[in-house]
Amino acid sequence: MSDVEQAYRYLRPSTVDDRGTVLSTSGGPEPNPYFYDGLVEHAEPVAAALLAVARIARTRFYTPPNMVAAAIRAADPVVTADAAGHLRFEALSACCGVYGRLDLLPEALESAPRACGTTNVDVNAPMREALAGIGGLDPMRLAVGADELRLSTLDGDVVERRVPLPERWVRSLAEVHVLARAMEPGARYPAAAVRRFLQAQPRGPQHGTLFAAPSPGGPRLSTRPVPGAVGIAGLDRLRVVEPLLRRASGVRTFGLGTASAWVLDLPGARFTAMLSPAPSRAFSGEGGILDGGDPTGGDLAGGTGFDLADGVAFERVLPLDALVDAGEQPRMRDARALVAAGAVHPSADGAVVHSGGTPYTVRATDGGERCTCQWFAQHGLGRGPCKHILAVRLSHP
Amino acid sequence: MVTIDAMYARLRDSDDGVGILLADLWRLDPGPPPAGPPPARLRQQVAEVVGNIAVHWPQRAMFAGVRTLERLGQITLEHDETYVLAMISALGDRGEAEPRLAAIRADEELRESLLWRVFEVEGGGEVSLANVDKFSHPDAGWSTCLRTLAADGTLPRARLLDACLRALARDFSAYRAGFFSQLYTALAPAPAELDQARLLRLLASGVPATVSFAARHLVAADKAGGLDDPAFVGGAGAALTVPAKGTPLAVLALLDRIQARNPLLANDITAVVALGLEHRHREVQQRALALLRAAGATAEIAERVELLEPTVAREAADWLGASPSTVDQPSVAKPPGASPGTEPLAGPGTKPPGGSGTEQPAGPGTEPAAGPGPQRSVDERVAALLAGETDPFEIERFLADVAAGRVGRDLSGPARRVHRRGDDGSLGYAVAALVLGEPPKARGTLPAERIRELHRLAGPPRTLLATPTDASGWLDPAELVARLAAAPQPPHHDLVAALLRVHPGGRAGALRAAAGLPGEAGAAVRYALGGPPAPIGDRAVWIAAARSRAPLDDDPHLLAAGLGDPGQGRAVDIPLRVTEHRHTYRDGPYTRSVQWSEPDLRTCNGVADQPTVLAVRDWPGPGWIPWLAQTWPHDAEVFCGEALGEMLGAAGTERAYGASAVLDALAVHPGRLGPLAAGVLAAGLTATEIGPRTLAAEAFAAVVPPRRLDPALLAGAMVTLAHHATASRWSSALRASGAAPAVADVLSRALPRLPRDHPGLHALMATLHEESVRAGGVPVSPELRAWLAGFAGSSKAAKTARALLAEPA
Repeated sequence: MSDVEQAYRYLRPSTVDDRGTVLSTSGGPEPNPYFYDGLVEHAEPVAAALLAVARIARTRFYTPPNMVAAAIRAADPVVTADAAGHLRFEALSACCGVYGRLDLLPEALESAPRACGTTNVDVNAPMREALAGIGGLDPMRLAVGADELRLSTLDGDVVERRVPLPERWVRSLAEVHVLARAMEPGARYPAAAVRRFLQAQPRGPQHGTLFAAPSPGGPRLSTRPVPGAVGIAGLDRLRVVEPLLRRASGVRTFGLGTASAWVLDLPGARFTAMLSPAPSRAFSGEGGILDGGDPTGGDLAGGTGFDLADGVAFERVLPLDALVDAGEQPRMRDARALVAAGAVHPSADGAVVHSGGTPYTVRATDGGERCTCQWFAQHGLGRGPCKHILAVRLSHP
Repeated sequence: MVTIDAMYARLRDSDDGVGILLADLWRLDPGPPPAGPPPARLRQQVAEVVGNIAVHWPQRAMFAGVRTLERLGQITLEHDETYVLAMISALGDRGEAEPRLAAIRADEELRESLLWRVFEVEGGGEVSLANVDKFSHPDAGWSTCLRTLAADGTLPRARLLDACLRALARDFSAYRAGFFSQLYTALAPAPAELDQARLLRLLASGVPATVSFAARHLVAADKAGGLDDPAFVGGAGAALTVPAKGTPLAVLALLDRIQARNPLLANDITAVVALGLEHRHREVQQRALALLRAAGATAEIAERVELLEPTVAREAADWLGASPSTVDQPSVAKPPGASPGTEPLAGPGTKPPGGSGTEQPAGPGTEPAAGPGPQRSVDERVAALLAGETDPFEIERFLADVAAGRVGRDLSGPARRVHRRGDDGSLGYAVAALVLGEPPKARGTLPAERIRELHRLAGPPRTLLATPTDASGWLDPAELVARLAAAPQPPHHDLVAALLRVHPGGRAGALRAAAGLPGEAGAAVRYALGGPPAPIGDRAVWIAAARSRAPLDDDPHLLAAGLGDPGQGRAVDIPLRVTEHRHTYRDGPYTRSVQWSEPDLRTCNGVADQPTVLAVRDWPGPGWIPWLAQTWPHDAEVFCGEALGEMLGAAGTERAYGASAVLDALAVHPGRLGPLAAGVLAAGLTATEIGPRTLAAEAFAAVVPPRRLDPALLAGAMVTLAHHATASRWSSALRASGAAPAVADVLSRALPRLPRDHPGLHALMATLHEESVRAGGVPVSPELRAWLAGFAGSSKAAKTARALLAEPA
C-alpha cells in the first residue's frame, strides 16, 4: 500500500464565537476556498451532526490484532458544495470501516453556496467544545472558508498539520459510492424507536454480524437477513448516530449483504452513517470498483459520492496534495501480473489460472463467475472478484 | 534519589539516554542545581521521554523530574498536548498520593496555569485522567489529589468546579468525561456554587451520563429555590432520553413542580413531557402519561401509543377512548411494514439484502452463510471447506467425493497452507489432511472417526453408506438398502453413522427390500428398519440400529445382551443437573471469589462409535458442531448434554466460541428436544454476548410456541439454572423472541418455583406482566396466583405481583 502525506494548511483555526461558526478550509479548487457564509437553520442539530462527523474522523473502531498502539492520525473531514445547493460534510473513521456524512439541505441555507468544489475543514478541539455548547432552535451563522477582507480582520494562527493519507482512504471513498449505489432500501423507523433499540443493546464491542429487522414498535435484532432487515456488523459502530436520534424525525435504512446505511432526517439536514460489512473490513478492500463492466474499474479517485436519500450521485474532487493512485488496487495489480506471466489458460468449462503453483479453475455460471480459490470461497463475489477472475476477464475482455 | 549531576554523568557515558532518563527522572533530587552544563542532547532526549509517557503510563512520578529540569532552566519544552498528556500520565505515582501533591504544591507555574490544561486534553488509551485514576490506588489518583488541594486552599475551589463543567462540555468520550462529573460531584458544590448556565448547556451533551449529571444538579438547584424555569424546560427534553430511568423520573417530577408554579410554561412542558412516552422504561412512560393526562394532551399521547409498553398502551387507549388493542407479534418471517412503528421503504425492500445471486461468504461467525448452492464443483466445495465452511451436508458431500475418488490434487497448495497452520483439531485441518492424504488428527467423536476411517481406506472408489439424502441429515431407508446391497461390507463407522440417520418414513418397503442383505450389517439394517433381532456381534452397530429403530424407547434385545446404559439399550432420559462451584482467594489486600457452574449429568467414558451415549468426550472446535448435531437426527439430547458446558460458559464470563453454532443447530434439529435441550436454550437466553442471546431468542420462537420443546421443560431448566443466570438477560431475550403467549406460559410455570427474593426477579415478573397483556391475558395457574399472593410490602416485585393478580385471567 502506498501512502502519501497530506498537508492541511489552514489560515486560521476554525472557531465558533459570537460571529458564528467559521470553518477554515484547506485545498480543493483554491488553497483556501470560500464556499459559504450565511445563516443555517436549526443550530443545535446541525452542530450535533457536525460533531458526529468529526467524531467519526478521529475514531478507530477496529484495531487489527497485531497492531500495537496505533496512533489515530485521521484525515480531516471534507466538505463539498455541489451544484444542487447542498453542503455535504464527510468523514471516514481511521479504520475506514465507518463513513459519516452531514448534508445541509438548500432550504436550511440562507443562500446558495458561493462556489462548487470540495475542501478539507478543520474541526479542532476548541471548535468541538464550542459546537457542543450550541443550543436552541435559532439559526446559526456558518462560514465555510473566509473572504480576504474578513480574514484580515481576524487575529489567527496559521494551522498546519501533516497526516499520512493512505491510498485506502481514497479507495474507501470510491467504494462507499459503489456500495451505496447498490444498496437496497430496508425500512423506515421513528427515530425514537431506533433510539430505544440502541439503548436496549449492551455496550462495548460485540462479535459477529446481526441484522436490524422491522418489527412492531421499531427494529429488533435478528441473526438472519429477513425482509426489510439490514446488517449491523459491530453494533457499537452504529452508536455514532445515537447522539443525533433525539433530534431526528425518522430513520431510513439501506442494506447490501452485511453492510448498511442509516439515514437520519434532521431539521433542514440529513445524516448518513454507513457501516462496512464487518468491523475488520475497511471499505477500501471491498473491491466494488473492480466489479464494473470495465475491468479496470470506474471511479477510482473517490470523485463521486452517492446520496441514498435522493438516489442521486454528486461530484466531489478530493483536495489532495499528491496523486494517490487508487487504480493500483492490489488485486488488479496481481491480476495484471498473472496475465503478463501467461498464467491464464482456456479450458473446457472456462479457464485455468496458474497462481503460486496451484491451478485455479474459473468458470461462468448463471450466478456469475466462480473460482476455486480461498478468496472466492470466503467472500464469493461480495467483495468484488478475486484476482483469478479478474485475470480471466483481462484476458478475455 | 539521584542528583542531576549524577544523571548527567550517566547520560554522557551512555548511548541510551532515553533509558537513563526513564530510570532516573522519577527519583531525581530537586535539590541542588547541577554544577555543570546539561548534556548536548538532553532536551531532545527529555522530549522523547515526554512523548513516550504521553502514550504509555509509567505508573511512576517521572514528570516531576521533567519539571525540575525545566524550572532549573536546563531545558525548554513546548507545552503542547503531548506535554499535558505526559503530565496526566506521570505527575503522580500509581500507589502513593504524596508525589503528585508535592509536585503541585511546590510548582507555582503548574498551579497557576499548566495544571488546568489537564481539563482540556482528553487523552486516550492508557493515558487520560479517567484511566490513570481507574488503575491507581483510590487515595493516590488525580481526583483525590485535586480534592485535597481544593480543601486545603492550594487550588481555588471555584476554578476547579468551573474547570470540571467546561471539560464536560468538550465532547470527550463517555468514559473520559466520567472523571469530571465524578470529581464535580465529589466536590459537593453548594447550591450557590452551581453554575446553572453551564449545567443547562450540558443537558445537550451526547453523553447520557453527563446529561444525567447535569439534570441531577439542576434538580438540586431547584430544591434550593433558584432554578431558571424557562431555561430548564427548554433543555429538559434531552434528559428524558437518558437510558436509565432515574434521571427521566426526576426530571418529570421537576417539570410537574414547574408547571404548578409557572402555568405560563404549560404548553412547553407538555411538549417536553411527551418525550417521556418514548422512553423504554414502563415507569417513565407511566409517569409521563399521568402528567399528559392531567394536561389533557390527547394528541401527544395518540401520536406515541405504539411506542408504549403493553400495560401503558392499554391505559392510554382506555383514556383516549379507544378499545385496547393487543399488538401484533413480530415474527422472523413477517414481512416489513406490518407495524405502524415501522414502514417498508419504497423499492424492492422485501428482497433480503445481498441475496441477488452473488455467492455469500463461507466463513463462520462473522457473516451469514447462504446456502452452498447446488452448482458447486468438487474443487469449489473443497475450497469452501478449507476456508471454514461448516455446512454438514457439504461436508458429507465432500466425504462422498473423497470416497469416490473425485477429489484431485489441484488444491493441494491451499490445503497445505491450512495444514501448516497446525490447528489440528479443526475441521478445516481434517479436510486439508484428506485432500493431502495425510492422517487427520481429530478424534473422539463419530464425525472425526469417520474422517480417520476414510483416510485409512484404500482401494477402488466406493459409495459411502452414510451420505444423507436430506439436508437435515436424514437418510432415506430405501437408499441405505440399495447402497448396502451394492457394497455389502461397509466400513464400521460409516455403517454406524448410516444406521443412526435412517428416516422414520418408508421403512416397511425398505425392510422388504433388505430381506436378502448379507452378514451382520444386513441384519442390523433390518433390525433398524423394524425387522427381527439377530445375534449381536459388533455392539456399536447394534446400538445404532436399536437407537434408530425406536429412538426414545428401551430396547429389550440390547438389554438382554447386557447393553443397559442410557443411549444403548435404554432410552436417553437424563435429567438436567448443574453443580455450583465457588473459589475464594486473596489478591493483595482484597478477597476475591469466582463462581461457576458445571453440568452434572453422570456421564460415562464413551466411545466414539456410540454417539447415542452421553459421554465425557473432548468438546470439538466450533466448526464440528453443526455436523455433530446431525449425527443422530432422532434425538437432540445427547448433543445438547455435551454442549451444555459450552453454553454455561457463554452465560458466564467466558467467550464461548461454539455457543452460536449450538443454538443454530438446536433451532433446526429435527429430533426430540428434552430437558437437556431446555437447559441449552435456558443458558443461551442468558448468554453474555448479544449474538448468541439473539439466536436463543429466535430458537425459543422456533421451538416453544409449536411445542417442539415443552414449556414445562424450559421452565424447569430456568429454575435449575436460575443461580447461574442473569434474570434481566432472560427478560430481554424472552421479550425479543416476539412469542408473547409462549413467554407468558413459560414464566408462569417458572416463577412460582423461584424464591421471592431471587435476584432480578422483578424483571421477570414485569416481563410476565407485559407479555401477558400483549398476549391477551395472564395465564390461569393456581400455583402462580398463590405465589403472587405471597408477596408483601412495597418492593417493585410486590407491586408487580399485585398488578398481575389484578389482571383478568
